[in-house]
Amino acid sequence: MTAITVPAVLPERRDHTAGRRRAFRPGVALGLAFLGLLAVAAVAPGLLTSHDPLEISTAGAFVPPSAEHLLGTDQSGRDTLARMVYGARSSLVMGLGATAIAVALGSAIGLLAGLANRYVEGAVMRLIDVALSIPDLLLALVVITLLGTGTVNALFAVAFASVPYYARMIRAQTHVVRDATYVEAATALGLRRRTVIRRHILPNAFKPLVVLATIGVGNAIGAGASLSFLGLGTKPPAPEWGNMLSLGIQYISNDPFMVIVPGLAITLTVLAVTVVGRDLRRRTEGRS
Amino acid sequence: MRFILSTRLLAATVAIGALAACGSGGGTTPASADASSRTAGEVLNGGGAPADGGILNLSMSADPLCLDPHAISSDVEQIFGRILTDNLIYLDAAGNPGPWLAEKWEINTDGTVYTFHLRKGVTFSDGAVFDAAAVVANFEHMLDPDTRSPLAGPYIAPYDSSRIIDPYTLEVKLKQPYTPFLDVLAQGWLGLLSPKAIKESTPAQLCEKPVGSGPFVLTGYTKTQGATFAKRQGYDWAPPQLGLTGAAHLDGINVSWVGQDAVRFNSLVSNQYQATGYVPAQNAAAVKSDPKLVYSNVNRIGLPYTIEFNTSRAPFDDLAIRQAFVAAVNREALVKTVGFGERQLATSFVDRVTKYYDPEVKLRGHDLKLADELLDKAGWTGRDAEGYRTKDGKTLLVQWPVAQTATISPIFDLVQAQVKAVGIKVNIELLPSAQLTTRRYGGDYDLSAGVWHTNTPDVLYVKYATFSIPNDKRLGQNTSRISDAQLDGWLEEARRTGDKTKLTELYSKAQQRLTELVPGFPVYDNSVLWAFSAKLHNVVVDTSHGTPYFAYAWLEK
Repeated sequence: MTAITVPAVLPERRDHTAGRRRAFRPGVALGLAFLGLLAVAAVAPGLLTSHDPLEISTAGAFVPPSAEHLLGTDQSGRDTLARMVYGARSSLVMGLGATAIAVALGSAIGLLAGLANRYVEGAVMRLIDVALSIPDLLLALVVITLLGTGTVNALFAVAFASVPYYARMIRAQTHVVRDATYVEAATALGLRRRTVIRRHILPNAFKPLVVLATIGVGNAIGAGASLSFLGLGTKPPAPEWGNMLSLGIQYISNDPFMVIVPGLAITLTVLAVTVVGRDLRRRTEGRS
Repeated sequence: MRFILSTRLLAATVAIGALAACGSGGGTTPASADASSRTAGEVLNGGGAPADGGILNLSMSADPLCLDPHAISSDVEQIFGRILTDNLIYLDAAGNPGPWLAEKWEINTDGTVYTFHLRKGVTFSDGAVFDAAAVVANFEHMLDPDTRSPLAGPYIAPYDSSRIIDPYTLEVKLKQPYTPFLDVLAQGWLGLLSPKAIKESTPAQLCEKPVGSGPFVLTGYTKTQGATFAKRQGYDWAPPQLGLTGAAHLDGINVSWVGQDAVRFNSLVSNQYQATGYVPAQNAAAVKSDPKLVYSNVNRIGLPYTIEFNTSRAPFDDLAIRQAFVAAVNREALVKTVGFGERQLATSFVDRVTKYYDPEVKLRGHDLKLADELLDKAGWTGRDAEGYRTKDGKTLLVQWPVAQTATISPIFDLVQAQVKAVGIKVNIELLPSAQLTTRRYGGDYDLSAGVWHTNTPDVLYVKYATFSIPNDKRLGQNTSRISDAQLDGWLEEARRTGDKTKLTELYSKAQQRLTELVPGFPVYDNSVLWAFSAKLHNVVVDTSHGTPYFAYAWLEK
């Protein structure tokens, strides 16, 4: 399991989008529906399952899917569906939390680089290049080594690992906007530099960020699950998809559902977020 | 159980005799129908005319990161010891010390002086000669503080000095009588290394490249990946109990560390490895029913898988809390979950195949009401927001650091969930093994779990004597840090006597006393599960460890 890397700079595709923008896309609708279901699972898991994800029943281990246990039970008799539903919360927290931190930090660094003099910019961007040359899961592992394991540390690790992508994108975007005619015009009108940055540069530089961050949420969920899979993130017995996968592999010959269920959950979530994110990109293209 | 076992052992002895008598003469012994239970000394998948050649690919579970048998306590050595080294002693099928590189010996009347008569013509693979001086060099290496020996050194702690009478006669003096001395000399961890290699290597170098006199020679070792062994030409000094002579049939053994249970199982089924030292219990049923595989499940002498309390600090310094914890745990459920029918519920502080195991000893059972009563009486009557018990505003919290491995036992979660029912909070900490070792020897934990296998009932001294509590000078194995004068007295006396009636009495008393002291609770008897391809023949169940002994194994072409 490796995290999917975020493209550092979005490809420019300004043509051939007008007709597609309004079309109904069943894939996007399914993705949105799935994300809606996840949101429900995260906010009110009790609506989707009546089982306790931590309740152990040694008499009922490795039960195949049935009316009582829709997705069967694990080696300790815990309900797999309940663990999956409750696991959605930690996945979403990981995805949204890590991305929010990464966007905030990355934007700050990107803006600094984009607006500062060329020496500062050069220094910052070379550091970013170094960080980008390290695969992000490896970078996350370095952070885990420094901070220690656990849910919160894993969240920071995943966040730090994706900071360089956002920094680089914002810096490039800042350059584009900085040289745009409307910024020149604003400067010519005698507006103060701070006002120009706040009113004109920031809002315009950030538009593509929304799209990149959406896709980044999917990647962060995958990376968080990877860390838990390796035993570095959320600790058992807390229900977490990466944990469930790692445990399930030991029993793959006894009960394949223990691997299939969390594996599908991770895959579908990342897929849904990516599909929705790409659609968002299509919709915003040509507007910036 | 013991009586049934001894008839089996007798049968096994007869079988070995028959094998020795017919040599390469034909008759095929089919793999036993009941594939699960094996006995010490049994020859598995024997018969047929041995074919020379071929490499055996063997999968193991975790790399001990050092292959010097004296410097580690990893159970890898039970198998590696028999590949790489030879011992002074080999146990017979009934568990009594028999000759190997020591052909015979005399013990003085008070049991403090052993005179060994050594086998002649034995050499180590680097050319060094096996003689009395070589044995002395090995004893000194085991006891050298630089070796940091966690097992071999402590096992021969009563060793005092040696006197070389002639090159093949050695007189060993002990500080005090020590009945298990000959037994421990038969263990893989006390395999003999070349005195030349010991002298010329640093401890780190010896870890990388130990040199023995065994049927195979270490030819390569890549940490966490694998090790390769090649046949030792001219080897001719296997234990007489095997009834076979000459060099190995296999050209070599290639070992890989395969940490993931599922991978180890599937690579065995697919014949990528022709043997594994560790069959995951969850796959045992599939291995048993596979006609292309031979499966073995042998109980090991020693301490069962036991969960232990750190009795040296709060809260488990209080006997009532320990009793309450035990009453809250449903051991049968634990065994059912992790055992998949392959593990037997432990009934005492020694495994049932251990000499002087007392079947009369009774461990307390699952009793939630009793657990609640004991905790109430001990003053843990408050409850916090999560429902855990509190006393003076402090939550009843216990720390359980465990090794962060590819395969984490479900036992930890199960125990955590079971004791939650009576309001005890268990915090499981997954730690890298180096950090775990530091915490273990430093006494920084409340719970610990594990097995301790040795081939004598002296395991009770190793695990529960005051002397065995780890300190700056000694890596002792008394992880419960229990210290009881009465228990110490009996266990020390048992080390001094060879009288069977007396030993029976002393070890019974000790086992009984442990059920009162509650340093922990045994969960299941510690058996080793291993398997190999039906194309591999003549694998012997080792008499000390119950593990596979490949000296004269051969592969069908």
